[in-house]
Amino acid sequence: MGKSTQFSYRPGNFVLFRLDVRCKIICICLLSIMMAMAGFSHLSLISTVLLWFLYRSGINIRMLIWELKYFFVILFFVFAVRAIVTPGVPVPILQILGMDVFEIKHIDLLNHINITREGLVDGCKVVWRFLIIMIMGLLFACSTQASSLNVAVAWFLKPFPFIPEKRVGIMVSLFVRFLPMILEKANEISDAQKARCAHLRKNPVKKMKNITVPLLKRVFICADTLAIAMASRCYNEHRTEQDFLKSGYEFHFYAGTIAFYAFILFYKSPLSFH
Amino acid sequence: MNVSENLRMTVYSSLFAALIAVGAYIAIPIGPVPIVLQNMFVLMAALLLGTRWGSAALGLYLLMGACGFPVFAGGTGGLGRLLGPTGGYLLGYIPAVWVAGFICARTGKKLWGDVMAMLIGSLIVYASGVPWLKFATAMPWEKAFAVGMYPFLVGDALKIVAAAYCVKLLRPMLKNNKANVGNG
Repeated sequence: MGKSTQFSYRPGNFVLFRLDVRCKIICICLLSIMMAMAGFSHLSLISTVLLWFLYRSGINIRMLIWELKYFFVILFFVFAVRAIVTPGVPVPILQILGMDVFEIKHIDLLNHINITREGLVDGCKVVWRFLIIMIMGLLFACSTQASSLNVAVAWFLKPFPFIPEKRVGIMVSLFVRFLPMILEKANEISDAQKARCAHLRKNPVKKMKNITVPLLKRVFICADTLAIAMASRCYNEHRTEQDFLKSGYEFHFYAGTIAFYAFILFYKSPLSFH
Repeated sequence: MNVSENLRMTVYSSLFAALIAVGAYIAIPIGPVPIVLQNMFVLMAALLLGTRWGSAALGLYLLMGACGFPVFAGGTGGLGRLLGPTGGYLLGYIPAVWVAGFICARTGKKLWGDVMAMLIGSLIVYASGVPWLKFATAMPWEKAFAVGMYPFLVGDALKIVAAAYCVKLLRPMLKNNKANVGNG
């Protein structure tokens, strides 16, 4: 996070970078909800649009796949479980893969695995949906500045009576400010411990303690310094609000989202078992 | 410099939210499966910040994750992760922090109270995460427990011991900071 990743904000001139943050949040939330109803045709359409957005936003797809490797492991796990536990027509997948019946009979575990056609289709669909929601989150993170997000968060929380929206807004910007600082301190402490051969210790509690205590002490000192700096600059929650920047394309994005919803409602995707 | 309690706790809450996010990246190698410090920071937020500000820290962390920031384990973020198979663990953090903070305050911040608060907090996380995992992946209960709870119990016990020790060391420091900041 401290280093620049495909998820970090990058300046750009593409419409996503200039779009009103509120519009981006609303569209992402609506599309995330719609994903639950989407079939293969709908997923193909939105994937094409998102791939075009990724390309225009200057995101390196190869690096992105590398950074999401752990997420892909989870997705594979979800796919495998869905393929196995969903009831339906069994698929002789092992025979298709070239393993003959004799081989299969001698592997006890494989005899209990019953992969179904419905399970494979359902697994693909669920994994694809998760992937699309993930890509939408990525596009949002790489095209939105922390300061704009801070103002948007405060704007969304305004109608809720018991939530101090401006305080939450400032917490958002402090959060973003603290992330690289903590990583930097953690790396420093880790290097210092290695220099003292602390990594050769066997006791895991001591290992944890040796990193956590100095890290927390250092970051709490930084947090106190920051609190004093804010107080000395007369910080309060009644500050002048920042204006939202509008690109002029907000209407197009709202219309596109609603059109996609209509497409999901009125066009039933083939290969749907439900 | 007179820093108000609200401002100080706002900064601390943001700091803990960031620590929880970074905790997923700080891995301590103790064997084939490294220990990540994320849940340890979650429980420490409850014990050091209390129910209100601890929950605020967790709320902020989940809000940032839901907005797409890569703060969840494995460098991911977005609503997909929050509503995905492991979303139950993430959403379970809020009641866990609240209950752990409450127990800690009721037991007078004693060592046994801290350990009990963290044990119950961890149980709440599993009580929310395992059923969610079971329904999201449609796996049977035994499998859900086998992949979503049993492998992490030893690591959790170690984290609770380390967290109790760290909290004992850090509490006086926070108290002193509060006094220094207030009187400076």
